[in-house]
Amino acid sequence: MKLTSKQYAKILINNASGDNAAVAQKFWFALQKNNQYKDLPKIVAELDKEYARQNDSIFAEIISEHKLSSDEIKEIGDKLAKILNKKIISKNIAKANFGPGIIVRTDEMEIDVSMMGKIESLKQQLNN
Amino acid sequence: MEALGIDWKLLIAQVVNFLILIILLTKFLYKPIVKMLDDRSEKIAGGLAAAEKSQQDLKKADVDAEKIREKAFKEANEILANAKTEAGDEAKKIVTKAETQAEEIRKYAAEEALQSKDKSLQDAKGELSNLVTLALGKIIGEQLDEAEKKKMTGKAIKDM
Repeated sequence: MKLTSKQYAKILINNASGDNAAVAQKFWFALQKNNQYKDLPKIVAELDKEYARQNDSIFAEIISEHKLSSDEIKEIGDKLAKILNKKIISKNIAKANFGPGIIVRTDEMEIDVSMMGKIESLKQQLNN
Repeated sequence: MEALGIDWKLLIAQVVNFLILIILLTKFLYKPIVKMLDDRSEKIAGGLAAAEKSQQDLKKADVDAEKIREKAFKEANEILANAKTEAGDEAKKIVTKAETQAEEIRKYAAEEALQSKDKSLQDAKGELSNLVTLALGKIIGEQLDEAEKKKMTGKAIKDM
C-alpha cells in the first residue's frame, strides 16, 4: 500500500526513539516495495514539518542567496514567533542567484522580503 | 220621266254600278290606304319613341359614364395616395434600417478601436515591465557585490 509523504514522515518520527536501524530498514524496504524513491525529497521536507508539529512548533523555511548567520536566523525566528504566536523551528536554504533579501515560508504563510520578490511585485503593478 | 229623257232601267243600272263601285273602292282601296296610313303613323310614333328612349339612354349613359369616370378618377387617386404612403413607409423603413446598421457599425468600430487601444497599451505595459524587471535583475546580479547583497539582506531581516 502506497503511503503519502506525510504518513511516512509521521511513522519515521514516531519510531525514531526505538531501534533506528530497524526503522530505517523497514522505511527503505517500504519505499522500494511501493516504488516511491522519487518521493524521498518530499518525505524529508515533511519530516521537518512533522517534527515541528510534534513539538508544538511551526516549521519555517528561510530562503536566501547565502547561508544566514545564527543571529540572523534567530532574529527571523523571534519575529515569526511573535507574528504566529508559536515556537518556530527554522531551516535556512541557500539558493544561488537568489539575490538580496529572504523569503520565509511556513504551511500557513509566506513573507517575501527579497529583491526578486519586490521586482516581481513591481512587474505586476506595471502590468496592471 | 221619259219626257225628261230619263231611262229608269239605265238609271237603276248606273246606281247599282255606282254602289258596286263604292263597295269595291271601300274594300280594295280606302281600307288598305287607311291601314297603311295607320301603320305608318304607328311606325313614326314608334320611331319617335325609340329616338326619345335612345336620347334618354344616351343621357343616362353619359351620366353613368361620368359617374364611372369620377369613380375611376377617385380610385386612381386613392391608389396613387396609397402607393405614395406605402412608398413613404418603405422609404422610412429603409432609412431606419440603414441608420440602425450605421449605428451598429459605428459601435463595432468604436469597440474595436477601444480593444485595439487597450491591447496596445497592455502590450506596451508588458514590454515595459519585462524590460524594467530584466534591467533590475541584471543590475542586482551584476552591479551588487556580495557585501552589498549581505547588507541588503540584513536590512530586509530588520524590516520584516
